[in-house]
This record gives sequence, structure tokens and C-alpha cells, in this order.
Amino acid sequence: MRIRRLHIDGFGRFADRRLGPFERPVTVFLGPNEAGKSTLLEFVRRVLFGFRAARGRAPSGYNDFPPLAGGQHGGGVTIVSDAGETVTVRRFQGTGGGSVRLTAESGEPFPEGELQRLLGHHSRDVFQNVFTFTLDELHSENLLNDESVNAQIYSVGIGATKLPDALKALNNHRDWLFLKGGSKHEIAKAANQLGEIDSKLAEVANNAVEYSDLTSRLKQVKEELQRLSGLRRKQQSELDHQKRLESAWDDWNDLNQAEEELAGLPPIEDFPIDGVSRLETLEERIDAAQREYDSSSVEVSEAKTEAEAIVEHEAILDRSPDIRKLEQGRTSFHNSVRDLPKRKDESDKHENSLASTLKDLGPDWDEARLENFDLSLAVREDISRFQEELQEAGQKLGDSKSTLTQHETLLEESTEAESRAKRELEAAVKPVSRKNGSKAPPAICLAAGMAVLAVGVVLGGSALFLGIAAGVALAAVAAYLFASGRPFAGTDMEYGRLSRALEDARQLARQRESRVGKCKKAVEEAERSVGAVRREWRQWLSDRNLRETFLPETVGELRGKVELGRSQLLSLRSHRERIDAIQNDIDGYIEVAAPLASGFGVPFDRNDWNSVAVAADSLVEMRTSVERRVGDRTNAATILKNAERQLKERMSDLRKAREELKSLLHSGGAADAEDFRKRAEIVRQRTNLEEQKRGSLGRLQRLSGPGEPLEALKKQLGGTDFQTIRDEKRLLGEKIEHADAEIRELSTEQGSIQTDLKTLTGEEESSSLRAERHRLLEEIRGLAREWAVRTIAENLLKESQAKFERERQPGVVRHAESFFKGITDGRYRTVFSPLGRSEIQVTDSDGVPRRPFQLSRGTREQLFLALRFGLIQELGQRSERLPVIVDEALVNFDPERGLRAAAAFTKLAEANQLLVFTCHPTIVELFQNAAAELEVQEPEVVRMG
Amino acid sequence: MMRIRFVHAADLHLDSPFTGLKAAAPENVADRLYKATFDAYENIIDLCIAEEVDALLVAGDVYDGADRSLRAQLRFIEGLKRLDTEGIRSFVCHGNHDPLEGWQARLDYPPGCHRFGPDWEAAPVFEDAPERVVVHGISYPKREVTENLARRLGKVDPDPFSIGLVHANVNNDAGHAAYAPCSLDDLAQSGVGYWALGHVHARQELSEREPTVVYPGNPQGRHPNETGARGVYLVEVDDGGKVDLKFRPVDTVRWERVQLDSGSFETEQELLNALHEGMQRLLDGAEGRSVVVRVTLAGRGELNRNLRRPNTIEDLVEAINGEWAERSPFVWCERIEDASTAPFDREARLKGSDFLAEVLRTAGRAKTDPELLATLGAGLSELYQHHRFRRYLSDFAPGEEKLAALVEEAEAMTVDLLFEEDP
Repeated sequence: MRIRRLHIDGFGRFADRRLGPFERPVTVFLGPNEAGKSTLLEFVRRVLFGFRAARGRAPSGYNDFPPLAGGQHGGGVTIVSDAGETVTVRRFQGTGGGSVRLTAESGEPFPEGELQRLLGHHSRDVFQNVFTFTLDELHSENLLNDESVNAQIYSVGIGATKLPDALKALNNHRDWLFLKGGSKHEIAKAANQLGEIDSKLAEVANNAVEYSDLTSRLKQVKEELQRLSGLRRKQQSELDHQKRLESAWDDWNDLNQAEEELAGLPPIEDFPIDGVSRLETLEERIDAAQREYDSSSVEVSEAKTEAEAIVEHEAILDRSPDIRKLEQGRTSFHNSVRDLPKRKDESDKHENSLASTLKDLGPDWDEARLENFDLSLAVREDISRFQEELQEAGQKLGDSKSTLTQHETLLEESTEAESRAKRELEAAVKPVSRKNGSKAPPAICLAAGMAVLAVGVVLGGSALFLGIAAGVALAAVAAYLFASGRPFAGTDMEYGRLSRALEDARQLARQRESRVGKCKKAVEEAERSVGAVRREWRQWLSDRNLRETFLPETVGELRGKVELGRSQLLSLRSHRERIDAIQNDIDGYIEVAAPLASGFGVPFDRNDWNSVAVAADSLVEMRTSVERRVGDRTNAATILKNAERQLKERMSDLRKAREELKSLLHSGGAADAEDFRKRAEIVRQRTNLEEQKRGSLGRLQRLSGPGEPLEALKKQLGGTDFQTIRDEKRLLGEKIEHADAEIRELSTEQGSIQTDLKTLTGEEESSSLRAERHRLLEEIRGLAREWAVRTIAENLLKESQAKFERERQPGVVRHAESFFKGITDGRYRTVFSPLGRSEIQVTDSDGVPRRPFQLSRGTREQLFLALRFGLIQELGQRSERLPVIVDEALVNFDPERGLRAAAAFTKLAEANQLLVFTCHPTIVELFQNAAAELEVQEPEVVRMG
Repeated sequence: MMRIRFVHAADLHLDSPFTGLKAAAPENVADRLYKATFDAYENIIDLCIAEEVDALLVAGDVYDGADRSLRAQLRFIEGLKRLDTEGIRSFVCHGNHDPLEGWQARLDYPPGCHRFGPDWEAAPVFEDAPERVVVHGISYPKREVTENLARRLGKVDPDPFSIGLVHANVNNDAGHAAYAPCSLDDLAQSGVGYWALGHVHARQELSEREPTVVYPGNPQGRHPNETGARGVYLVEVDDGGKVDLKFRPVDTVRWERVQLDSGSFETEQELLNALHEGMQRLLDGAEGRSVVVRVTLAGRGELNRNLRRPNTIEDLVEAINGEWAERSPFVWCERIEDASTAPFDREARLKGSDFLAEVLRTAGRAKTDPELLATLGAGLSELYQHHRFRRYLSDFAPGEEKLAALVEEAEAMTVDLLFEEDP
């Protein structure tokens, strides 16, 4: 079978890539690393032999070659069979290794089942291991290692390169499981454990023997215990019998004695039950009734005396209201007597304070005036008003006067200015007559007027008024004198000026004069106003009977004093009233007490308040005492009535008790109490004896059981004595003690046996030991089976190998020899497999046999290749010849060896298509040279990348 | 009108360990397994009391004498005493595992219990009415009893109604030792109305009527092959001699075997999920009991190649048990057997001309060529007849049939070893 064309739809880096047709025997695919040679090789394998079933469980390191450049994962390989059929195999990744489709050259579908035939029924691994040559296998350790090289070379010849490893692995595992004569293998280990368990189980097995011994002993012990218990029960019952006799003994004696004594006592019939106690009760009752009767008699006489008693001062009860007054007013009286002096002292102090205030106000002041003095708000307002008015009028007057003084000064200045102007004028005009004329007269007048006015002002009042008037008059005189006919001097012009100045001065003076006049009038007016206010004030004071000289401020002060005085007066009055009230209380109390004291003979001095208090207390006490005594007397009457009734009742009781006693004595057949008692004593003794007899009999019966046994018991008691009973009892006690000790001992043994048995029966270890034993058995059997499978596998391989050797090896070796001769250029002549040796040997040109480990490395490789070629040839004779792949297998060969190997491959290519994958151009040359040397068609070179 | 009502049990094998277990069980499981035979026996006693039966019949192999388990005998008698207290009688015969001459602790049986001796005896069930039902029974004096005991009984009077109690192999059951062999016909000839048999561990109703012949099987499975519900028969016989059988499971731990086609799973996780589902189903079907299961993986698929990698199966077992074995009731996967094969077209490969084809052909030929088979099995006796190990293994030395199975396994192993594909 040859590969003609490739069409990669999508695989690794390739997409829709077509290669071929490959027509020549040898095709070299040349390309650098990563050019896709491996991808191409894997593509061919997978299309022809199938993809891995699913990605999910591919082993690690498995390259899926997904279609990286696009396209459907897979493609087609066109092959030509040895018979000349051209078929295209198309396969794409999918379940079950991918779907495969075969097409004939004609385009007709080709039966899929034929693929196996077209591939020579070779599997993927045969294609891989037999038809593909890689660098790795030529460098494999087995080929380099002297020890394994023989087996490796040999296995190549049979097409199972893994055979040596497989046999080794089987053997190792087999020995690990079981090795004859060995002691460390797994089966031996498990068997050892098993042995240990068996010996442990043997120990446990003894438990059962022990158990049987223990159970039989236990049985004995139980029987003995049962026997002893029976014996002990019997003894105990005998002992109980003796004890019964012993405890019956006293009763037996008592019974006999009682019967004896009864015989000696006379019988008394129908004696009253509880006779003596009834007698005693009655006697006691009579005694008590007598005692009560006596005491009632005393009570009656005492009550009578008390009911008839006379009470002194009984009349005081008729004065109870007064006594009650004394009683109720007693505390108040005491307080009044105590407080009065204090209140008087306080009153005196207030009296003094008021006297002092009145003295301050003046001699004409007394309590009445103090009370009547008007202190109303209106008065206070009046005072304030007068104060203000006086101040205002005074102020106005002052202001008017001050204004007047200013204007008078101005007037004086004007007058002087006028006179100066006049003088200047006169100086300008020749002085005529008035050279001597002086201003003196008017000036003197004016000065005098001013002086008068000043005095008036200083003096004030009417003096002021007079002063003003005189001053004004004098000033008028001065003005007149000044104005009359004054001479003029100077030039006309100067004169005119001077005249005008004079005229101006005169006018100014006139104005000022007029103003002074007005001011004077204002002063007068103010003075009048002041006078009016003062008059009104004096009138106000006089209306109130106050001194006219008082200023409003003084009246204000006076008003304060009056207020103080009035409050003192009020306080004083309240004290006076209080003292009067206390005094009244005291007097009233005395008035009540006095007649009572004298009426009931109580000492009394109305002036001595202490004696009054004592007398009052005595009276109160006397009334209480009298009242009580009268009450007692009333009670005594009631008591007397009751006591008399009781006395009657008790007399009746006493009589009844005496009758009952008589009747009792009679019923006891006795004449008197003493006789009764004697008879009663006999009856008591008889009763006791009967009782004793009954008791003894009852107890004996209880001991014996009812009926016949009592008679038997009596008989037994009658037939023995106390000492015999005691001796018997002691003996039995000792026997029982002995039996108990034995029982105890046996019980202890029984318990101990039972504990041991419990331990034995509770033992569970053996169950787990047995389980473990079975597990180990199973393990051993499992290991044995594993061992058996491996042994058989080894036998199977060896048997197959033997058959292969018989039937196939001669052909393989024959072909291999031919190749080996060619590759080694005749240095080695023969290749053969010695019988029964599972080994390949060669002979060199000198006929010397060599075993593979004796060959050089290169020769080993060549022998390896030769055997592979031989196998390929041999297989080719039986089935399709598959293409041979050389995947860089020759890279490490030296040029000469390489050339020979290439030549060998080229020779092989005569029958099997040769596909060489390399990245080394020298390899291309190698095959080109080989072709040249062999004079065959040159290899086709497909360049990649 | 009811003539009798009884429970028929056999092969109690008290305190006998579970066999066929290769792995050590976790503590809780082991504890349950040690007690399982006792628990099942307790269940039988409880059943008798609850159903107010007249008698319990035990048809041999109460315990394994070879085990010398004191506990087994004590517990057995304890149970009988409980019945005695309740007024229920018990009839016991001994078989090959607990023969009369074998090891026995000296123990007292309760008065209501009748143990049969080495010769046929007849014992009335109702002491106050012996005419109602009679039990004919016989015990093995020694382990190997090869005599046809049914024939020795001869013919009994069909009136009163009689029950035959014996440990025997009827119709030569191949799975069990041929002790006291007899045919169904022998039993039919005897005149016995109900044959209460023991010995065969699988429940069997050999004959429905005249006579009724029944193996109740063992009440507690103790081996991977003793699968499914195990128990006893509750039997009612009316006055007309009509027998009514009711099977009552009393086991506390159930054995199951599960086969799983691992070839249909793509990943280990899918397989694990299927296993988990399988465990749940087992638990659901066990009526509240715990289950010990052996799983066999069969089929062919890519996954199976992975399963053969070291520890893969062990990891699966651990994952399953981690989830199920610690519960109560538990499911304990005792082992997973890998009987699967890798995807391998054997037929196609056989047509090849390479070495593997040769191996396959050789293995195939061995099936029909006893000589070749013997060649392939050569050397096995080295181990199986080894002076030290033969006592454990001699019974297991592969015969022809087993050898052929081993060859198949060996073939698969060689295929794996020689031709595992490169990645």
C-alpha cells in the first residue's frame, strides 16, 4: 500500500492543504522545526487508524491537533493498494475514533470493511512500532545497555519491542506476589499473619474447655448449696419451735397462776362497772358542791354589805357641770396664771416706747392727736406740691433778678458809652457852660439807685422790693440829669459822626433802660408769686395746727414720727386687751371654784392662785371618787342578786349528788363507801386475773395457731421445762451458724465461677479473629490468582514467541541478513538465531560469531534496522506492504553509516513506500546519494514551512 | 382449623464470619458483620414470639463446630430459653458443621427443646396432644454422613401429620457437599407431610405439596454469593394437612452483587455517579437493612484503560465507601472487580500477521486445546501445591474451566503490556 495524496481539511496548523501525488519510492519531507512534519505524520496515522475516541479521557501528553487554522478536524489520505486499487480514506474526529469513509478512484464509495485489509490488518501500534523509525528507539536505553540489548534486538525481529519490558514487568510482579523459596513475598506475609491469628484462635478455643469445667463445678456447687439450704431450713424450723416454747413459757406460768388465784376469790355478781371511780367522782362532786355552796354564802353577805354603803359628799355629783368647768378650764387657768406677769412686762415696754415717741413729737402731742393726725396720701401729695411750688417760685425769682442785674450792667455800659460820646461831642464843640458840668450828679444818683437795689436784693422780701423801687428812681434821676443839654464840640463832620454816635448810644441806652424796666417788673412779679405760695403754705400749716415756721421737709419728717407712734399705740392697745382677757379668765375660774370649795370643805384663798389650783384639783378628784363609789354600790346590788340565785342552785346540786351516791352504794350492795370499796377491790382482782388468763391463752394460741395445736402446745409445755428448752435452742443455733458459714463459702465460689463464665461468654475477640482469618484467606487466594494470571501471561507470551520463532523467524532473519550485509558493506555475513536461545547472533566476514552486546553501538543500530527491515519484508509477504516512515531516525549517524542506512532504506523502498521526515538538508542529500549509488529514481523532496 | 404453626430455619452458622471479604471492613461495618448471624437469630426468635407459633424447627448447622465458638452455643440456647419461657417448643437437629461428635460445650438446653440424636426419633410437638403432629428428626453423629438418611427413616404413618427434620443434600446439589444425599423421590416415599431441610444455603421450595419439601436457606448471607433477602419459613398446616408457606426475611446485612457496564461511561465521574446511584438503589431495596456489595465492572470502553491504572479502582472504592459505609444502615462496597476490557477489536487483530496476532491466536487455541491450556497453566502448582500454602490454596487450584478464564485475563494483560498505544 502506498500513500498517493494527502488532503488535510483541518489538522493542527494545516487547513485545506493538499500534498502529492507521491509517485516515487522515496519521498522526503524537508522543513525546519515547527514546519509541521510531526503534524503531517500524525495526520496520516489518525486518518488511517482512527482518532482517539474522546478528548475527555485522553492520557496526559496526548496532542489532539485541533484544527487551529480552521476546517473540519481530519481529512483524506489517498492510497494505492498492492493490488493497484486507488482508494481515498476520509476520516474526521468523532465518536468511536471518528467516522471513516472510503471512496474508490471512480468516486464510487468503497466498502468500509475493506480498510482493514488495505492496511494489512495491521493495527495502529504495529504501524507505529514496526513501520515507523524514530530517533528515540535507536537511542533507547535497551539498545545501549549491554544487558538488555540481546533481548531488544531479538524482540525487534518478532515485532514486539516491548516484549522484554513486558516479560520483566510480569516477572517482577510475580516474584513480588510469590517467589518459590522466598519469604518476603506478599503471600508469605499474609500467611504469616494468618498463622498468628490461628494461634490466637487456638488460645481462645481453650475457653470452651474451661467453660465446661466451670459449668460442671458450678452445678456441683449449686447442688451442695441446695442441700445445705434444705438442712438449714429444717434446723431453723426446729429452732423456731424451741423459741416458740421459750416465749410461751411466761404465759404458760401466768395462766396457771391466774387460775389458782381466781379459785380463792368469792364471786360478786352485777357490781356496777367502774364502781370505785364512779364513787370517787360522786364524792368529789359532793365535796365540790359543798365548797361552792359555802363560797356563794360568803359572796351573798359581802355583796349585801357593799350594796348598803353610804358615800360622803355624794351631793357633789349634782354639781357636775361646774366641776366639769373646773376640770376643763384647769389647764387654761394654769397657763393664764403663768402668762399674766410676762404680758404685763411686755405692755410696760410698749408704753415706754410710745411715751418716748410722743415726747419727740412735742408736748402738745398725745394718743388722741396721734390717732387723729391725717396721714392720708392727699396730705403727702400736698406736702410734695408745696415743696415744688416754693422751689419753683424761688427759682423764678432768682432767675428774674439775675436777668435784671445783667441788663442793668448793660444799661450802665450804654449810659457810660453815651456819656463818653457826649463828652467827645462836647470836646469837639467848645465847651460852654458845662465845663464844670460833671456827670457826677447822675452818676451818684445811679450809684445810689444801684446800691439801694443791691440792698433790696440782699435783704429780699419787701426790702428787695423797696430796694428795686429806690434804685429805679435814682437811675431815672441820673438819666434825666445826663440827658439835659449837653454841649457839643468838634468839627461838623466829626461832630456829625460824634452826634450820630451819641444818638446811637442814646438809643441803645433807651432800649436798655426799657429792658431794665421790664426786668424790674418781672422781679416784682416773681416776688409776688413767692409771697403768695408762702402764704398758702402757712395757711395749710395753721389748718393743721402746726407751727407756721415748718418747711414742707419738716412736715414730712413729722409724718414719719406720727406713723411710728401710731403703730406703737396699736401694739400697746393689743397688749392691754390681752392682759384684760387673761385677768378675766382667772377671775371667772375663781368665781366657779370659790363656792364649790366652800360647799365641800376644801381650803381656798381667792388671792392665792396656787391654792385656787389645788382646790380645783381636789374638787375634781372628789367628784371622780364619789362617782366611782356610787357606781360600786350599784354593782354590788346586781352581784347580790346573782349570788343569791347561785346559792339556791348549788344547794340543789349538792342534794342531787348526795342522792346519786346513795343509789350507787345500793347498787354495789354496800352499806357505805368503805364497804363499797372493799367489794370493788375483789371485783377488780377477779377481772385482772380473768384478763391475765385470757391474755396468756391468746398469746399461746397465737404461738400455736388456732384449734388443736393450742392443746398440743400446752401438752408440749406441760411435758418440758425451761432449761431443756434453752439448751436445745443453743445447740440448734450453733448448727445453723455452721451451715451458714458453709453456704457463704459456696456462694462466694458460685459468684466467682459465674463471673468467670460471664467473662468467657462475653468474649468477642474470636469473632473478629475469625473474620480476619477469612479475610486473609481471601487475600491469599486473590494474590494467588493475580500470580496465576501473570504466570499464565508469561507462558502465553513465551508460547507465542516460540510459535513465532518456529514459523516466522526464519524468514525475518533471512531478510535481515540480506539487509545487514548490505548496510555493513559485507563486514558481517550472516544473521542467525541459535536454537532455543531467544537471541540473534551475527558472524563477521571472518566467520566469527558475535552476540549483540559484543557489537559496537553503530553495528547494533544497523542490526536493529536490519531486523526491522527483515520483519517488514516478512510481513509484506503475508499482507499489504505499509509505507515505512523515517522520522529523523538517521540524524546521529556518521555520514558513512548514514549513507549505508539510507541505502538500506532506499532498497527497502523497492517494496515499501518510504516517507522520510527531516529538518536536515543533509538527510535529503543522504537519500539522494543513496539513490545515485543504487542507481534508482531520486527521492521526491517536499519542502515544507 | 389449624393443626400447627411453626417456623422452619436452618444453617444459622452462628458466629461464623463473613467469607470472601478481601478488604478489612471499617469499624462500624465490621461490628455489624460480627453480629449479623446473631442478630438474624434474634430476629427468628422475635418472629416466633410475635407470630405465637407452636414450635421452631432448626435443620442443622446451628454453628460451626470447627470455630469452637462458645458464644454461638450460648446465644443459641439463650434464644431457645426465650421461646421456652413463651411456651414455644423447639426442635433441633445437627448437620455437618455441628455434628454430635464435634466440639460442643456442655450446656443445658431448656426443657421445651428437643435435640435429635444420631438415629431417627419421633417427638410429638404437643405433649398433651401427641396425636396432632410428630417431628421425625436425626442429627449427624460426625461431619461426613454419606448415607441416605431419608431411606433409613423408611415409611412413617401419615397420621398424625409428621414433619421430617434433617440436614441433607437433595438431588445432589452441586454447590454443597454431598452429605446425607437423597432424592426428592426418597422423601416423597416417606409418608412425611413436611420436610424441614437444611444444608443448602439458597432458599428452595423443592416440592409444594405431599410432601412439602423446603430449604429455607441460611437466615443471614455470609458470602458474596449468598445474595438477596435471607430468612426463614413461617409454616401453617391445617387439619386437612394443607401446608401454607410464607417466607420471612430475618437477615440484618444483605449481600448484593452489582454489574455495571463501565464501557458506557465517558469519564470516571460518570462512572462514580452511576455507582452512587447504584448504592442508593441497593439501600432502597434492602428494607432498612445494611448492604455489602461487590461491584463488577464489565464492558469495553476507553475508560477501562484508565481503570487499570494503579489505584484507580481503589480510589473508586474509597469514594463510594466514604459516602455510604459510614451511614446507618450502611452500604459497604467490599470490592470492585474490573472485568472490563479496553477498546480492542480482537477479531480484527486476529487477522493480523504480527506478534500480537500470534498471542491472541495462541490464547484462543488454548480454549479448545487442553494440552496447550495445560502448557499455559504450567508452573501454577508451584504455588497451589506449595507445602506451606497449599492448605489455604489447594481447594482453589484452577481446574480447566477456571484456567480458561485465567487465560482470558492473562491475554488482556499481555495486550495491555505489549501494545498499549502511545499517546
